[in-house]
Amino acid sequence: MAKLASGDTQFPVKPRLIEWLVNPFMYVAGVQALVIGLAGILLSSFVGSFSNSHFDGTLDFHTGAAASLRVSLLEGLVDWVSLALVLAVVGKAVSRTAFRLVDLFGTQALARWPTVLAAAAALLPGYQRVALTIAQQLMNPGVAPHYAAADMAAFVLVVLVMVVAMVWMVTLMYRSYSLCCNIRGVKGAWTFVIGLLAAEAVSKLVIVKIIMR
Amino acid sequence: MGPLPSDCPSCGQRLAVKRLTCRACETEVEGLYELPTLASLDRADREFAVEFIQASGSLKAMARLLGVSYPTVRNRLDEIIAKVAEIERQRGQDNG
Repeated sequence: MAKLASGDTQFPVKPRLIEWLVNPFMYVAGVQALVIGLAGILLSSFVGSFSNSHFDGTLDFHTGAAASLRVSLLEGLVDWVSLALVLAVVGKAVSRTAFRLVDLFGTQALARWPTVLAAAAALLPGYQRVALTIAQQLMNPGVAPHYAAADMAAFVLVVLVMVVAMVWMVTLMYRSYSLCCNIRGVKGAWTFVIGLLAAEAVSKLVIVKIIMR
Repeated sequence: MGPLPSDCPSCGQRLAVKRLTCRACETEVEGLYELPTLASLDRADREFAVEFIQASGSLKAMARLLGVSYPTVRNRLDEIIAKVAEIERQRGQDNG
């Protein structure tokens, strides 16, 4: 059997855990990735509706106001479609490869799985208590806040998990774009950053102007 | 018989064929012949090309066979297409 191990597309035929975590799209794309990815968006919306998590922009993650399942789900779908659509346009303009849209949309949906981790981490009661105290402090700046040490530790831990989840998600988004559109190196990085910022603006606009209205 | 080398182990340039032998009567033909384009690819690329032809040129079938995704196989094919184009370009330059 031919080994796909020359040139730029080097990878082990039997993937290790790290490949599944950082670049699963070498092995999963198309409809399969789309189904798994949409299940992830649904799950993160479901969990987010309990932890009051908002993904109100392609790159945004906040906790705060009560989030209904409908709003959470719409936010996740808008974030996904905005980025996939913008990257498809950028990819068509820049790539020499005739790529399939189902691969890009499917892998971009799959790239949002780390949002499940972020939404689940926000369920921790200690985090919720500190977040609520901070929100109250912002509304009444005169009142001195009191944080329990255990709650503060939980808060810091959850924030760290959220940062890791967001970095992981952006890494997956880039890998998806790079593989599906076959754009690598400096050109791949620049066009991805431009696409990501444009998608952030588009998704924010749609969520604020249409969904939250 | 060993695998056909495509590049010079000393300087890395593409190799040409100097001598051919008939397996039946052992007649030898000497000259300077160019390797066919596909034979100029390295071993992994040649194996991929052969399996791609055997899969009727189906990227989906290749992806299933290799246990990887469709875009991974397509990018690998794009890589080989670029190499073939480069070989053809160099050949065109060599032939004036």
